[in-house]
Amino acid sequence: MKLIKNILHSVRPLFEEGGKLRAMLPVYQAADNFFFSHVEETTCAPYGRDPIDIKRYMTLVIVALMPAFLASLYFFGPRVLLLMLVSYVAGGLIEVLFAIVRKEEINEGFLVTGFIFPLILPPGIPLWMVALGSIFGVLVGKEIFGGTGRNLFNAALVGRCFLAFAYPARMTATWIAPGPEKWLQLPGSLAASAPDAVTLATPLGLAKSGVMTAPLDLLVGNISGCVGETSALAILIGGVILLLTGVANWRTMAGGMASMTLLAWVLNLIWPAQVAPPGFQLLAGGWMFGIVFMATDPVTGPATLSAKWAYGILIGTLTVLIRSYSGFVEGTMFAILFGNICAPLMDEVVIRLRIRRCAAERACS
Amino acid sequence: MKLQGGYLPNIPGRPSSDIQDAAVPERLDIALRQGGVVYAPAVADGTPVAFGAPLAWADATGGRIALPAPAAGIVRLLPGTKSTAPRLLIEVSSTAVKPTGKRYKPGKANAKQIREALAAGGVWPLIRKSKTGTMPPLDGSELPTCLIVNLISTEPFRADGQSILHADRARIETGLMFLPSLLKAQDGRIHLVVEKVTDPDAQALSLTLAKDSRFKLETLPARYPAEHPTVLARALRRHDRTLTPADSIWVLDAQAVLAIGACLADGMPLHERIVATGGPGVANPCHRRVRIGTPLRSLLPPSVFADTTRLLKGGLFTGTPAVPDSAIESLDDGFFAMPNTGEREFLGFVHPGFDRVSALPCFGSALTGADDRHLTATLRGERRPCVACGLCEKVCPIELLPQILHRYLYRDAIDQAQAAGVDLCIGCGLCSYVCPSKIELRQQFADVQTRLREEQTL
Ligand code: SF4
Ligand code: SF4
Repeated sequence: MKLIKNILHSVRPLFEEGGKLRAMLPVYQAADNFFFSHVEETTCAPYGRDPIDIKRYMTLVIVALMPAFLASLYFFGPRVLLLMLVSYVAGGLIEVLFAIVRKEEINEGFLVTGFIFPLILPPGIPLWMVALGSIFGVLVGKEIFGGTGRNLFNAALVGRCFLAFAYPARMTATWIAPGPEKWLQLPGSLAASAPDAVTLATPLGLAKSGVMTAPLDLLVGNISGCVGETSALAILIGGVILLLTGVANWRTMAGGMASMTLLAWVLNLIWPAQVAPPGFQLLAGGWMFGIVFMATDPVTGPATLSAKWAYGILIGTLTVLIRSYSGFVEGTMFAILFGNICAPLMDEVVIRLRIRRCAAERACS
Repeated sequence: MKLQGGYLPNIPGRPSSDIQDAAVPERLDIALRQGGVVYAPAVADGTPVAFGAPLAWADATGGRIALPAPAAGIVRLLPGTKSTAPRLLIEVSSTAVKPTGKRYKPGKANAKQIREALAAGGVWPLIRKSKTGTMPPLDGSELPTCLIVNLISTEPFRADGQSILHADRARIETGLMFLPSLLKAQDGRIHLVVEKVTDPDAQALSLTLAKDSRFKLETLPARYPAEHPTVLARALRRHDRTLTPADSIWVLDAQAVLAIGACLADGMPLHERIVATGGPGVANPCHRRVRIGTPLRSLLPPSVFADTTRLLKGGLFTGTPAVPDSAIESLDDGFFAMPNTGEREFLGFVHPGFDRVSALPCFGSALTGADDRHLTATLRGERRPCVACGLCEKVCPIELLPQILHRYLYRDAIDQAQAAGVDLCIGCGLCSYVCPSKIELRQQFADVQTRLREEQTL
């Protein structure tokens, strides 16, 4: 701790006015404020403030992601670490670049995006694709809108969507059969392109051809699928953490879960061959990960609380519909991206209703 | 009654419930502009005044309000400067108090007599109209359909109505007896708002008032800002649907009723305030009965005036920096001090946080129920763009959408912000308090309100 303090102190002049690395000030600030919490006096009422800040907020999201991350390490081996490294470095470069150009501080939001991105990719994906997707996601999904807090779309999903459209074959041919033995196959499993990547049907794909995966495997995650999406159990533990700490909005999650279950149940009763039963739909594919970690991304969802309900319901409904009645096997990603587009509209409706109430209120004051 | 939104953090350093008498200093210092009212001196420099004699008068709608002398002594007039209002000093010759006004029996005084007595006793400004937050007119041109007497106090570090009720129940009961005469109609209601009806003082109070069906005991959850006049009136309007927008509601707090009781029953002018002193920078936080005009420097320990401490007047959420050389005014009820720097914690964002309390249960204190031992006059985080977490909406007592208002104002869309109710914000400060992005929402809204008001008068 002392050491870090001394280092930060000694390099400080480089970044100050007239220093050689003046332009890199955001990097210095980010490091400084990362290690030692930022202290700034309040200048207007309320003079005391709640201890919650964005760093804490994002930290808790990462904590909640941990079970899914650990499960992915177990099932897909050390390669996951590699994917994560590439995702962070590539996306991080863009984030830092933009912070320097805009002379703004580096935003913590990227720590979450960079963490989530590799978790929603097929485990055998070539590393250059991870880098490309991460860069695209941060650049197009976030920075062109003005950075975290102003972006319309979930950056990780934009990256993933880009890869799915640009390299559809590679995205479906780079699955890896799950199993902890990969830890024993070092360094082979760390190659830039995974040697054991195969065209392996995921549970959702299998279901299209009538083969149902055992529910226990779906729950534990011993299935083929995206890195962090396979273990419903691990994701659920993360979801509970998010809900208990209040970091994720329960309205989105509840709306999504309820609408997905209800719709799948009804449609499954009518067209059992086409629509998978709700239990399966909840556990399979990217649904669990999507609704717990990506639909609850507050920035790209609606800002008002009542609209968060509608947003969850829209995502749940769309997911079932896309999965059942389109050529796509998985619909969560599109459902959430579409939800991102609709979020401002939903807010607008809430605001309109609120404006009416304001008029009534004004009469009494 | 129900309360929308609101929040009450677990903050230590709140004043204890006992009320101690503070000594009357040798010199009292009285500002001629207080509580939004401007007074013109009625005494000449160097002349003696008796206790309770009017030092100054202020014009108010339908009459004038006196500023009674809180103690007998020799008056010194101090002209104002650019930044400070003119002041009156009293070199105190005697600290004795004695009745100066006519004494009434409850029920025997009519509305006009009451209004005149309260104006002459300097007590009238303690009554607030819920619509405007200002004092009601003195000529009876606007009369309340009902009155709200609020005994709840939630804002940390302000004087606590319950403690005052406990210490002075008899006087408060006397004060209450005079209130029905102020009502517009004989069958109007006086709503006493308490936290729990089972509280012994509230029970005793309701027993005394049981004979009079106009008094009603109401409960409101003790979440900040339950004591705000607008919030109280809003809760009442939702509770009692017979009230129309045209109906006027006046709001009083425990100190106001206490002062009314003293003024009308005992002929005592307003001469003292019960003031809470507390906060993380004050030892022995407690309530004190203070003579109006007592300089802060003689009331508070020297440590609160240090550079490392921020001394604030009011409560945690709305308090503003206190001027060290000012004195207790007739509407003051709390002062608190906080350290104005915090330590830079190593990896603070992973701190378990058993010693800090947040609106989001994401610190260790959520498990233990511990209180916030780290309150300082700092942001406790970095400023960031809004992440649309919705916390501000959740706590807003007026059910505004602070995050949306902020979004409008960020791109200068004042008209849209006004349509969405920025003019309705009561400035309770909760949204700014809880915002994880440390956005100065309250300040932003207050600035816009000022701008809108200026445009209106142009
Ligand atoms: S609390 Fe702050 S960050 Fe959260 S929605 Fe409100 S303004 Fe945005
Ligand atoms: S300051 Fe205004 S907008 Fe913010 S919570 Fe209070 S009333 Fe609502």
